Amino acid sequence: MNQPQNTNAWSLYWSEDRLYSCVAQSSDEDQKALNKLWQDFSQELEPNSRVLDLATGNGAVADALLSVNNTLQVDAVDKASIDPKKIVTEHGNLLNVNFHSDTDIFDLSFKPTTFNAITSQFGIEYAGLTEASARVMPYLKVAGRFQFVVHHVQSGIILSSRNKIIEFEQLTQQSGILETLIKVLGGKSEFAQLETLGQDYLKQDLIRSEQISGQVFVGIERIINGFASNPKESIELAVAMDLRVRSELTRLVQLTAAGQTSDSMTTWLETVSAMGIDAMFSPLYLDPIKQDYLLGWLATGVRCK
Amino acid sequence: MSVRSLLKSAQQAERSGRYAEAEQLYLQLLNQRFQPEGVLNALVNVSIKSNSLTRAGEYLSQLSVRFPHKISYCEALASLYARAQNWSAAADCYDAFITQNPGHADAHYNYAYNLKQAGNYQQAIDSYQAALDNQVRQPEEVLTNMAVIYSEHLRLEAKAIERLEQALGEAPSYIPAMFNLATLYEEEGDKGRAAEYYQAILKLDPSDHGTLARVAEAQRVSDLDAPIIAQLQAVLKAPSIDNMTRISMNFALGKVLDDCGEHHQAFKYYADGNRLDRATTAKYSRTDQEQLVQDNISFFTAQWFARLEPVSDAKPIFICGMFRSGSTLVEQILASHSSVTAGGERDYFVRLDSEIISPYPAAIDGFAPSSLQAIAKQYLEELAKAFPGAICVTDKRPDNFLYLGLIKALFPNARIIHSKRQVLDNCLSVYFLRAGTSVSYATDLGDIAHYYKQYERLMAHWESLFTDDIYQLSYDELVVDPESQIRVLLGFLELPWEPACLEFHAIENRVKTASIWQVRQPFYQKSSGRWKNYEGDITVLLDAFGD
Repeated sequence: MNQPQNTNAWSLYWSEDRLYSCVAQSSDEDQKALNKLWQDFSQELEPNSRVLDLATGNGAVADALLSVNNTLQVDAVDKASIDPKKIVTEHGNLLNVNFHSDTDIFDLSFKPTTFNAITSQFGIEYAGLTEASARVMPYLKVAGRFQFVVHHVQSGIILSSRNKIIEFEQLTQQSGILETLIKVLGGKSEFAQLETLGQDYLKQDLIRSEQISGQVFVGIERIINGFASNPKESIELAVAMDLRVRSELTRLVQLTAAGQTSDSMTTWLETVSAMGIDAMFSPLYLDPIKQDYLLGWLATGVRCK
Repeated sequence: MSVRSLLKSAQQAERSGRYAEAEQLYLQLLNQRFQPEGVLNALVNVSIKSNSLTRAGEYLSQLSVRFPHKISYCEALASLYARAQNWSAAADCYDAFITQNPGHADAHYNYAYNLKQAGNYQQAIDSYQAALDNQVRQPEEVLTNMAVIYSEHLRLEAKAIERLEQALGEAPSYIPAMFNLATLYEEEGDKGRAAEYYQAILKLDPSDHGTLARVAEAQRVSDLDAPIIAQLQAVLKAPSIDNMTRISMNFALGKVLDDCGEHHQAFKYYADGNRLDRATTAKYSRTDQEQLVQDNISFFTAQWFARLEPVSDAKPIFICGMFRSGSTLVEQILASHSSVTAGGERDYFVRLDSEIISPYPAAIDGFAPSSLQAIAKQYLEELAKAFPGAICVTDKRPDNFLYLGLIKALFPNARIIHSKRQVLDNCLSVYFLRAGTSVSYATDLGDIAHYYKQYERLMAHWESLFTDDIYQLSYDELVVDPESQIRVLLGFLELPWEPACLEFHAIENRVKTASIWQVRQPFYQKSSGRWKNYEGDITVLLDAFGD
């Protein structure tokens, strides 16, 4: 089944100069580990191989693949309105990638057995891992390979996102801080009400991060301070901040929903195996020896027939 | 069973924690050539989960051989060896990878890191250079690492400074390079230049609290109104600081308030710093320490030494004692002599213990005389390489006292200087310094007292075995009557008297320990009897050591 996706949050997300999805807010170590994974995968591909990169975002996987094997021909698709060539100027490899923006995995128009490899990093599972895999596997050539890095329900990324969701929900709740801010600026509520909400928010027993609550509070202060001299700009800024916060909340809710359990991975395995694919999955750790930080699932395989 | 059924059964067994069964099923899959890479990875996972690290290493080796261009397997294997502190084997993983992938800058970098850990400093420098030659990312970081090796291990400070300046040429605001430069100038005794760099760092990043703590350490504060005190207190009051910063601010405040004579208040800060630090350091095991000492006493007996074949007739000098007992001062005094070079804290015997002679000391009996000769020869060669042309190099490391049995087995003519200080001053000094994770006993006065007693117990054993070859130098007598003490010390080492030894603080040798400012000052009598200022706060020590 094609699960409904709200792509707006992702279009907004990718419109910033992000190269990496999900791990963008995590450490450089996550990034490096995933990059190496893709570079290793790329090393094994023949020159001039055709690669389909699913849910590409701003092309992080394509960039990593091409950094070690620049003869690859990469088609990169995403349902969001992406334009990485315009945004990610410092990654020269991306200039050679065929990006397909606003393109649903279920509506691809490639011919069967076109690709030597299919890749996805925290992407394909948003469309439903099993259903989307079943749809794209026919694009693989016989002996073609795939590698997916998929969200794991217990991964560090998802666990940390759960706390962020609570924070975002508090900020965006009805008659909450952001809604009241816009009302105050529109003359429909008193500033004192906003102050009270802010104080109450700080008293609550929940995890507040500098990146979220901290930035929103700084933003509110600036908006309020600038209101007297430029009310129009302040209102625009408040609406933009509200939109961004809500988009981020939507994105994180989708992200946590995309986490796969070992049961759902087993279902996936059975489905793709029935299609003549030799597949495997295993947990992917930042440090495979200590096994102390779970990045996701690593799903790999080869088309046998 | 079909491969699909096998895979399903293997994964089910793995999920249920039946790792031995899972391993067998994965091996069957491997024999059937099903997804060898994925299956080998699964075998690695299963082996790690069942704590079979040796087998995990075997499967990773297979992956490294099958996929010689995939650095992840090389890294995982190296990490496995590194976890066992087998740095040479970890370095070998990268060596093999580089043979196949000579242009891989990150591999050169990691190779260098492991070589350094293994004590192959010059090779590590060469590999860092290869990383640079292959356009490694963030060259400033590589240059800084090279500088650390030059400075800490090869004692080539001029080269270290050169690399750090190159690093700042690459990235002018690269704080680690500035911090290291400041440290080098601090070691050199150039407080002014050190302070300039520290201030520059604070200008770039006012929240660099580690540097603020160093500024506090590098100055003597006599006035409670000194700005540094308010700065430190302001940082400590900030609710958002992390635990590490809280620890370093407490130690820094302890230090400046001690400077000002506010001892009780200073002690409170030190106690808070230690209490917080305790959570970050490995727990000190009194039982393990007692066992370690007992193992030494039981193994190294007069009878054992009587059976030992001669190994080396070299006469190296070792300085040992409790941490903060004045061993750095002894080294500096000796380094002022024209025939002696300060070798700093060598880690050769610690590496032997962790990598080669394991379990220590029992494993020594498994070494043939020729192997022991090779170990002794390598030690001398490392010293000669680090200090070309030096007549006599000191190996100053407080915990050398743990290795005196091995040292005397390798070098029967070795001369040992045992630095000793008034027990309460010594223990308090340990407590007042944030010593880091390797000194796990340092955060608790009771643990410090325990460690001290074990150290005394072991030293008594060594003194009974090597009476004539151990010279006990009293720090407290040295600071009161330096000349006569130094004369006796030089006599023990068969060195002629040189007046320069009284002017040790003027020489250019760098001092690489925690007590640099104390040693840079002419004899520091203030350190003797310091415990009296804290008499009301150190009941634990007073109870342990009586009068």
